[in-house]
Amino acid sequence: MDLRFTEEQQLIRRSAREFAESAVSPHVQEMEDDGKTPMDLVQEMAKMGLMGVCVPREFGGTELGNLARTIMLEEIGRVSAASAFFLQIFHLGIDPIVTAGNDAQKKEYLPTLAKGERLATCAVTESTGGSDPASLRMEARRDGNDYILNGRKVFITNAHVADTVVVIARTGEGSKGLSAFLVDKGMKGFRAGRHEHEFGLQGCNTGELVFEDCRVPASSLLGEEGQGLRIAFGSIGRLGRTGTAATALGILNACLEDTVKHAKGRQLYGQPIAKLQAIQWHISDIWLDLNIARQMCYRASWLIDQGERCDAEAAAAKLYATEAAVRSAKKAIDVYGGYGYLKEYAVQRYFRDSECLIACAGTSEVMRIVIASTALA
Amino acid sequence: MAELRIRVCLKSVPDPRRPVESTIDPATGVVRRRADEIGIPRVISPLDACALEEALRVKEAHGGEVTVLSMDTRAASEVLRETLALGADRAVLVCDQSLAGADTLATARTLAAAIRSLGPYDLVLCGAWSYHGNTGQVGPQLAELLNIAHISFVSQLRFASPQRVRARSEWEDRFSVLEADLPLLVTVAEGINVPRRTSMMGILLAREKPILHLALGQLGLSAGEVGLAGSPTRVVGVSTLASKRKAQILQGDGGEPACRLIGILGESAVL
Amino acid sequence: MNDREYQGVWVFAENHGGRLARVGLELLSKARELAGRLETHVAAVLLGNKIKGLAEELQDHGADRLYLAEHPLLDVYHSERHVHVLQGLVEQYKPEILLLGATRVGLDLAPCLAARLETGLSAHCIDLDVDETGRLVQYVPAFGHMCVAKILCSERNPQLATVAPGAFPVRIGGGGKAETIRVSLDLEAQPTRVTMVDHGTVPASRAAELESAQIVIAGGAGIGSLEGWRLLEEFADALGGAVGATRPAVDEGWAASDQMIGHSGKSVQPKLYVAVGISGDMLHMIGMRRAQMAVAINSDPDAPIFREVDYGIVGDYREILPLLIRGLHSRL
Repeated sequence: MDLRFTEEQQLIRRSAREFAESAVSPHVQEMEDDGKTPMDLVQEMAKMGLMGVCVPREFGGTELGNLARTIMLEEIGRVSAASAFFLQIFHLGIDPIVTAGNDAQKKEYLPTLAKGERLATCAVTESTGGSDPASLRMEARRDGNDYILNGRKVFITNAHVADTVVVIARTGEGSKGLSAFLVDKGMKGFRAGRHEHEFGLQGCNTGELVFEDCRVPASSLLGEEGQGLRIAFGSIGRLGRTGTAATALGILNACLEDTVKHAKGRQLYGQPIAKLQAIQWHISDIWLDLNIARQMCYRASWLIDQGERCDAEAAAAKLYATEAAVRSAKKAIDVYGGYGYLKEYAVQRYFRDSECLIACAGTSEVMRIVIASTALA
Repeated sequence: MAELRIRVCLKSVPDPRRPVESTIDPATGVVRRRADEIGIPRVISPLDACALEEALRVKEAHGGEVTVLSMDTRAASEVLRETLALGADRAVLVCDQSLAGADTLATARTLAAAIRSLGPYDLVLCGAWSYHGNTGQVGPQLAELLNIAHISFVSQLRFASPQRVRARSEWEDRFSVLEADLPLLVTVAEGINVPRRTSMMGILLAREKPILHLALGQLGLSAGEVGLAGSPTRVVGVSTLASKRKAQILQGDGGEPACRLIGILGESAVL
Repeated sequence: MNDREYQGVWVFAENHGGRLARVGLELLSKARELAGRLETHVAAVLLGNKIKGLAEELQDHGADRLYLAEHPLLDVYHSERHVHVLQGLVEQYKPEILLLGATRVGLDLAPCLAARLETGLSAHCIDLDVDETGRLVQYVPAFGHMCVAKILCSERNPQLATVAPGAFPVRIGGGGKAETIRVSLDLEAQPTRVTMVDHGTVPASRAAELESAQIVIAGGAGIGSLEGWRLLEEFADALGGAVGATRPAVDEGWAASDQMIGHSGKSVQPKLYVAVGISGDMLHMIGMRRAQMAVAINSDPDAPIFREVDYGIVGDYREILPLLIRGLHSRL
């Protein structure tokens, strides 16, 4: 088992880091201040080809794979978790088309999505819950050659910036009665509603999507009726979880780097606090969390690239990395002391951002259910 | 316009943003890398990146192919892959034990032989100086050894006609505009362009592009013409300039050090 | 008198617009000292048009001999032509040492000459000496913290070196009446592959103030972005200082190349020198050695620069500079 990264993977990491430091970093403060997704940054991401890393080559993507994507998101997340997150959700909106789209849909949507000329997202969650699919209420009523969509989706990342949404709606009863539809911005009866303001991941747009008698042609149906949940959860299980985990990995990196730098420079009792054992233990805990999370994330991504079924590994990577990021961010603040509370220092942002990842792509509790289900099978 | 055959001579250097304490081996005068330097990532020397960018722009505007050459150790292959991802068509790594310790003349001789071994060419581009070594000598020396014209410190490169280049050279407080027919060597100065970033598509396409390895035997040179043996200059010693400064770190929390500094400046009548 | 085949210490007297470049005078002073130890003469090499009026100044600064190549085609520096003339002179008169300023002209001219003569050349020397065998010892800044490399060209002649402007002081006196040797040139018949179609002057930017500034603020790779550079400039304004840069900052495009301090850049002698986001590489530090007081601000507590300054602050410049700016404004 060769655990080294290939030269290509190292190049991807270097390029992503260079991009994060030169293109993403200047936007961080403005994102914190105004909470808006910087569209010029999104365009830079598009130019770099970051949207198309999981799109097949025949449709204009680079098909570099899940591990390449994880590396990329980790590097961006290290500078801005919000940027890594909204990027990974663009991928999440594209993936259902890759896995379940018919030829016409792939040809129509994938090339522009891969190039970032159009942006996507995926909408499952309603006020009744995200991990309780049976309770989803949004309906898609068949009417001649069309479907009429009615309902409201909440906590949708990229709600206001996406051009295309993969939305799950009810065509029948129970979990097998859900179907996936492709809805484009501008379609009558579809609009982005309320902005949702979170205390973290500033600059990552979250909001409500409103469907009021939104008529879509039958050709908007992705896959067959009743396959909606399988399609959506398939993408969320593979891309959503590893993408969230990779974002958390980025935060973990930043926590370690900043804490080490601070501990070496900050003097108390006549010496750098890095010499104090209590501080050393905090730092080694962060180091440990980072390195364990890395192995979990890289392995889950690798398994996905091998085409192997890995629900538990992906769930475990997400569970571990996000919880580790929350723990490590708190430790980082503890090492900084009072300075950790100040907005001029980044550690308070790591603390807020990491917490806001916990409920994404399924909560920690849900991740445990997925793992248990594999463990007990 | 006929397809242009462009060669870019390129060097990888330790990332200029990371400080390093490299030392020169006092016995041989060869730069010996300290262990910590190995951890520092190597990047394309900034002006060489501009040279590559200019080559890619010429290719995009006029057609042709871009070959990157580097005389370096095997560790440079990662940087060469990056040049392929940026858009170069192929990369050549000139690598051999005997090449170590080369001064600029021996380096230029080696690169000239490598370029000749690849066949006819039209334009050779390199950075006016590299971040490491920093002499700026290899470019002009390479032109002399190839027996072609050269234009230095170019901030603007154009084509007056398909086989004739017009370039603007920057001097300290002057400029000159020069024209020459191909084949030509150009050294580029900062400000000529802003190098592009590597894209994911570029990284993907780089998979199919070759990195050729050239050793001494393929260059048509003898061991005495390259490396330390072929260098008219050599490093015979290394020393450190002793510091006569106070080297006092101003301590304190929050804004204290800044306050103390202002106090010190005020007292010393600097302000 | 020695019986070496190659004799004489030559200095390339770079000139523009009828005036001698200062570095040529600096080199003449040093050449006098080297020539004394080698028991040989000092010669200045003057290429240009209508420049024989500069002969006296060269003589006053120590030239025993003057090689004068005057021609309208040498009016503005043209690589091929200048190299050709200089090569002819060197091959005919065989100097043992030829020194040039490490200006752009010198950095273009010297390597071409070295390649044609297959001899050794070192760049940006900060000191020169003669060893016991009579060979020129060349000291150049080496990569890394405060390293200086000692270079010898033991076999080939002439030994060439480009020298950092400001490395040596200018001293009047030494030579008596300099013997002038006029070089006959037939440049019209000499075709060149490169043609000059235009030339002109470039207006000096604020960088011209650097060398005479009393307060210099320099930024390096650690600044990280153009926005950060703006903060640095604001800080410099608050102090009333000139802004300098390291090589990486120039390569990034935050500063102009004539703001570069160091090896191949400018030497400064201010009362106060503040380095922000600079690690302390020799290539840069060599340019600020003569500052009266030196201060560094860097987030890396292990940065070598802290050993080369009088006072250091460890921290993020983005936090420290605003505090300093506020403090300075409140003093006024």
